[in-house]
Amino acid sequence: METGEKGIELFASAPKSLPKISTHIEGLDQILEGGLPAQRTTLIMGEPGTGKTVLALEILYRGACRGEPGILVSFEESPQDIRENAATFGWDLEALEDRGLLYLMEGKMDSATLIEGRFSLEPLLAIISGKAREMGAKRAVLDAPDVLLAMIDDASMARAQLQFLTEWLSASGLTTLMTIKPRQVGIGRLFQEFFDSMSDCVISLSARVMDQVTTRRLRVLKYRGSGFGKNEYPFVISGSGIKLIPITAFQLLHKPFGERISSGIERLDGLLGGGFFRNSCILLAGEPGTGKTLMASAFAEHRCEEGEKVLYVSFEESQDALVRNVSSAGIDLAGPLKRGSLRFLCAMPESKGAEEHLMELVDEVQGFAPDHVIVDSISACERMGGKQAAFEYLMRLLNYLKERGITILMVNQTSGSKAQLEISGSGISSMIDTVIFFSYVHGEGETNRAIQVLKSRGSGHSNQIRECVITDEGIRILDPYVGPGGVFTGTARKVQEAKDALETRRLAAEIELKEREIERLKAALEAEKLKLRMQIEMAEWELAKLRGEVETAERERQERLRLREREWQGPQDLDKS
Amino acid sequence: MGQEDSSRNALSYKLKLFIAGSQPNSQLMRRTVEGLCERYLASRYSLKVFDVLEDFRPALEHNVLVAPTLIIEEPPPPIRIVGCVRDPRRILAILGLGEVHP
Repeated sequence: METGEKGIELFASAPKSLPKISTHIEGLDQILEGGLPAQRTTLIMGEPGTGKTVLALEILYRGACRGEPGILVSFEESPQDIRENAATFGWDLEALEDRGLLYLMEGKMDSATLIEGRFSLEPLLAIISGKAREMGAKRAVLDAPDVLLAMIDDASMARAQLQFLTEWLSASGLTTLMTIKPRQVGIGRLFQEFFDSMSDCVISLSARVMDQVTTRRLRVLKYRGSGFGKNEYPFVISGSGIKLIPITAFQLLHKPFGERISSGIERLDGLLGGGFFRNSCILLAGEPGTGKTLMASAFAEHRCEEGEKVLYVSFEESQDALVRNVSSAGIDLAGPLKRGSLRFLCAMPESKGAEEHLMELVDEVQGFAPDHVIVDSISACERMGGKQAAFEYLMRLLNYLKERGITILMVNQTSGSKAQLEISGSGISSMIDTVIFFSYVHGEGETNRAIQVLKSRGSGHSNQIRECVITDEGIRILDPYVGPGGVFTGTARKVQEAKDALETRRLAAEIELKEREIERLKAALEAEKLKLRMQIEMAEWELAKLRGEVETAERERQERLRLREREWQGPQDLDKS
Repeated sequence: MGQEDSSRNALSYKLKLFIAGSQPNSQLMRRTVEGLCERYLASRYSLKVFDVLEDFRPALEHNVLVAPTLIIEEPPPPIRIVGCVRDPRRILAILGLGEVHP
C-alpha cells in the first residue's frame, strides 16, 4: 500500500505523464509504474479460474475502502455470489454498499428472454452512467461483458455494439476495468481484438501447474503512454486477496549494512571480525546435524535478549519440536516465545506453492515487524515446486527483507561430497553476505564438528577451521589447533597434541644419538686408520723380509755356481784349494 | 377461433417497452408494438414506454440491459422480447394471439 501511494506521488511529479490511480495492491502499482490509467479502460484477460474477477473486485474494493466509490456490473455471477466470494477474503461489500461506496449490478439477462432482433447496449450504459452520477463514482468494473455480447450472433451488430461501447467508455470519464476470457475463434475473437484495441492497458493472468503446485502469473501486455514491468510476475490469491511481489530494480533499494551485532556466540563474533552486520544475509551451510539450527537458535535467543524481534521460519521441524530440541543444548526459545519477541512460522514446503509461502511470510513480517528472520532451511524450499520455484521464492524473499533492513539468517543443508558446490544453494550466492560452513571431520574412531567462515562481505574474517562442540550450555568454539597434520578435532586433537610433545622429545633424542654415532664413527675411522697403518707396516716388513730372502737365495746360487766350476776343472783344483 | 383463443381474448395485457431515445431499432419497435396493441388488443391492454436515456431507474429496476426490450408482464408467465421484431405476427404468436411463424 505504501509503495502504491509512493508510486503515485512519483508519477504525479513526473511531467507530461499519464494520470494514474493506485490499485492499492502492493506490487501491482510497482509493475504498472503507479497504477491504472485514470479515466481509461484496462482489460484483464485470462482463462476461467485465473483470478480476473478477484483482481478487478479487489481494486474496486480497496478504492471504495478509501472513499472512492465504484460500480461493478457482473455479467456472469449474481451480486449475491460476488458478495459471498468477497466475504471469503474478509471484504464486507454490503457495508460499502450501505454507505453508497459500492454498487453491484446484475448484468445477467433474464432467463425468460427471447432474442428477436437487433438491439443496443444503451440501457446498460445509461444505468452505469446514472448510478455513477448518483454515487459520484469514478471507477467501474465490467466483469465478463463477453457473456452478454456472446448473445449477439451477428458480426456486424457485434462490431457496431463494440464500437458503441468503446465510444461510450472513452466519453464516460470512468476508470474502467473489464475482465474477459481470451477466445481464439469466431465472434469471440472479434471481441478480443476490439477489447484489446479499446484498452489502454492490458493485463493477462494465467495459472499453470508445475510439479503439482499451481502458480498464478500476471503479465502486463501493453500500457499506452506508460512504462511497465515487462516480466511475468507470480502472484497468489491469499486469504486477504491478491498478493504479488515483483522482482524489480531490487539491488537499488537494498539498505546498506547496519552496525555489528553479536551472533550470540562470542567466539564466532571473533571469527567474523566482530559479529554479523545488521541487515546482512547470513548463510549457515553444512551437512545434517552439524549444528546449524542450534547456531540459528542461539542467534534468535541472543537477539531476543537484546530486546529485538525474531521470526523463525521452519520448513523442517514444528515449533514444539524445535524449542524442545534446542533446549537440550541450553538454548531457551520458550522464554522469548512467551514474551512475544520470537515467533515461529512452520509449514511443510509442499503444503502450498512458493507464492503462498512467500505471501504468508510477507504477511507475518508486516504484522510482526521482526528485526531478524531465520529461514530453516532453504534446501527444503525446492519441495515447494522445483528448483525454479525455490529460486524465485528465495530471491524475492531476500529482496523483500533486505529492502526493509531485516537481517536474514538462512540455513542450508548440503550433502556429502557436493557440499562445497551447493553451499550457497539455489543460485542465490550473490545475495549472500556471510557464509559459515559446517562440516564433519572423521577419524580416530569418532566424528567431530568443524566450522569455518567462508565469506564475509564488508569485513576481514578468520580463515581458520575451528572445532565446535555442542554442550548442554550451547555451542562452544574451540581454540584453533594448527599443526603439521592439518586440523584436528576431538580426541584426535588431544592425541595430536601429546604426539607433538613426544615428537619433540624423540627428535632431541635422535639428534643426540646421531651426534654420538658420528663421534663413534669418527673414532672407528681413527681405529681403522691405525689398523691399516699397522697392516701397511706389516706388509712393508714382510716385503723387506721377502726381498732379503731373494738376496740370500741369489748369494747361495752364486756360491753354488762357483763350487761347480771348481769341480769341473779337476780335483787338483780341489787339492790345490 | 377455438375455445382457448376466446379465453385468451378475454385476458388483459400489461406491456412495458424500454427504448433508447431516437435509436432506430427502438423507434421501429415502438411503432410496431403500439400499432399491434391498437389493432389486436383494443382496450384490453396497458403499454408503458420507458426511455432509458431520460431515466435509467426503471431499466435498473427491471434489469433491462439492452434496448429495445419488451416485457409482457401479464398474462403470466412474464416474457421478455429483446431486439427489434420486424414481423408483428411474431409478437402476436408470442402473445398467443395467432399462428406461430418461425
